[in-house]
Amino acid sequence: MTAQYLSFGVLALVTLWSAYKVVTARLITHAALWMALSFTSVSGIFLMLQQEFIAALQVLIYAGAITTMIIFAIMLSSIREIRVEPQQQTFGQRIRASGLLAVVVGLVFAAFMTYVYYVSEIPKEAVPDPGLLTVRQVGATLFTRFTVPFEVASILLLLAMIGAIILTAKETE
Amino acid sequence: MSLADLWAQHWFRAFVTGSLVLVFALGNFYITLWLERKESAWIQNRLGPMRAGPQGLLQVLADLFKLLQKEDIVPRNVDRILFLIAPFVAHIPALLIFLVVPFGPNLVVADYDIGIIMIAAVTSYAVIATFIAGWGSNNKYSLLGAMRGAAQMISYEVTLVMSVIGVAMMAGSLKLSDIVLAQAERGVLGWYLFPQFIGFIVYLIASLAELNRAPFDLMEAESELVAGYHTEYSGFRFAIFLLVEYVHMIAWSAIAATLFLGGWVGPTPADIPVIGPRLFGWMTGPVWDNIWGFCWFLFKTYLLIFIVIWIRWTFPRVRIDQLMDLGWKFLLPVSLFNIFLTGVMKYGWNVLAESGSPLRWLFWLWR
Amino acid sequence: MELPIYFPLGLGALLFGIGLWGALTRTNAVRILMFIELMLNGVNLNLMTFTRYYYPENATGPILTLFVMTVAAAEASIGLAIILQIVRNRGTVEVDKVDLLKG
Repeated sequence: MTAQYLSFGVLALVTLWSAYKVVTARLITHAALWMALSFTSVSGIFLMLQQEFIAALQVLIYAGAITTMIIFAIMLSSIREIRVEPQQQTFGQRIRASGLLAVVVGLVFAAFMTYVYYVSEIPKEAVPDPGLLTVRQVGATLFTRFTVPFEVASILLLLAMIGAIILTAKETE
Repeated sequence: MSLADLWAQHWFRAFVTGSLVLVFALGNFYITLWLERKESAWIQNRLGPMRAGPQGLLQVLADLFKLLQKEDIVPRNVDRILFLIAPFVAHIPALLIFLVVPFGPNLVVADYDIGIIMIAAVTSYAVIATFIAGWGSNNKYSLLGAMRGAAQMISYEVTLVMSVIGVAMMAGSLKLSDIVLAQAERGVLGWYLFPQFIGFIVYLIASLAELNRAPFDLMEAESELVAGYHTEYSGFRFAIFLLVEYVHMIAWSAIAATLFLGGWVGPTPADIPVIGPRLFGWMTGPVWDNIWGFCWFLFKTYLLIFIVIWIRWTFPRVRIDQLMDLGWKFLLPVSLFNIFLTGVMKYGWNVLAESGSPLRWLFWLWR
Repeated sequence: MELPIYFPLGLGALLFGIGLWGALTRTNAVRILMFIELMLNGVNLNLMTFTRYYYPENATGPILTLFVMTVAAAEASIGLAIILQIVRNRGTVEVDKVDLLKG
């Protein structure tokens, strides 16, 4: 049991437990906070995989921006239903029925991955100690090879912003 | 080096430096709290605390002791776990910022490549902590204060990061120690305060809003919201919120000192023209460099803390719509313009410096 | 990395599975958005794992993840705007109660 296994185990447990709590938490605000915890521990796994840049962005975008946005949405939309569990009668059945579906899907995924893992020619070991991918390299690649996707992404964000404003703005005469 | 490797190989160093950062934060929290009281007294033409210790130096200790021996009240209908953990969630981002700040030439805990992004990232937890406190209190004033705070912090975080981009462009790096070294090479006039003057002003205003300090302390506006998200907190937990507020202030001032005022760069006694090398020549070498660097760093940080306190006791509080208008409609466009200006000026210098045209001195500041 | 590659990959798959499970069981639209974000996180985890294990010198993986995050942010903002509009018009966030085609 080395430090790597140990830290991965802890992070994975936190990730899965908090993701599980997102599904089962009674209050939707609790679900949002569990989701933030899940994002944070995923960012810890990114740090383990030596991707500092992506880990920081994960925290910045997911744990920071998206969680806050979702909290705002909760406060603005479901404030009347915050303390009420919807559809108490059918909820247990729902969980059981689609939990089964999720288990089946997960097993199919796992079987497929195991099959690919053992049958294919991919190397089983990681490339030894590659050194860190610097922000400079990421930026250089982003602005040379991926200039067009980058611009498209910025247009997408602009459209999302305009769309959100138009959808939520109150109509004024 | 990734964090996991850092932890695996240097856990002892991590532990010691982490403790030192904690001690630094607590010590400066004490001094800043005292400074706030004395400075507000000075501005309002009164003496401030005078009884406990010389110039009231022990007053903060007495106050903290009073807070610590108060009963830890947990109201009946609160969301208990969230109510209890909120102060501790709040203090994590405040302390994590100090990880990347260079206190001296070699005094930095974790010199990440992504320093500025990491600061922006850990700050987002402050929003979540505010929400946890507001929601956990189960009090409409707390919740309203927390939601206001979240809106304010998330809007001004964008502006804050945008105002710092200019510095990253000038230095060509996001690493804070690289930024300081780049300023060291440029001399006093080259500190990014001058070429990035717009960025500095925007940063100062945006960090005030990010700190929720007056004139932007809308989430604890007592005339509207009682005490905002810490209405229900008392004793020990309230003391931690107080600690977080001041540690945040120190942290943002320290970052401003690093990014715009040259960090630990500054003349040492050995740099005095004639007598310096003869009298203070022995005060050189790596250890003394760190000591002088640390002194300069503290001096610059406290200069900024002084300004922040000064602003608090001078300006009246703004309204929430004025705050949002200022952030989105004025500061953000201005900081975007600053990025544009920096790019143009840097490009202009690069082009003209090669040709040797006399026009290049117009762009000299952005070299 | 001495950690076998199927550990992080399995974690990503499990995260995706949990997200899928939640998205199928819950009816609150805001919660469904959360599960979509969880699923995207599982995908990101897979991308970063393959980057670290096989192409550590290549910046393509992080950039693809960056785009996933961009799309996730855009999707979340638009999704929340739509949810707010639904709440305003129909007074509910339960997706199975929004079943009228005509407004």
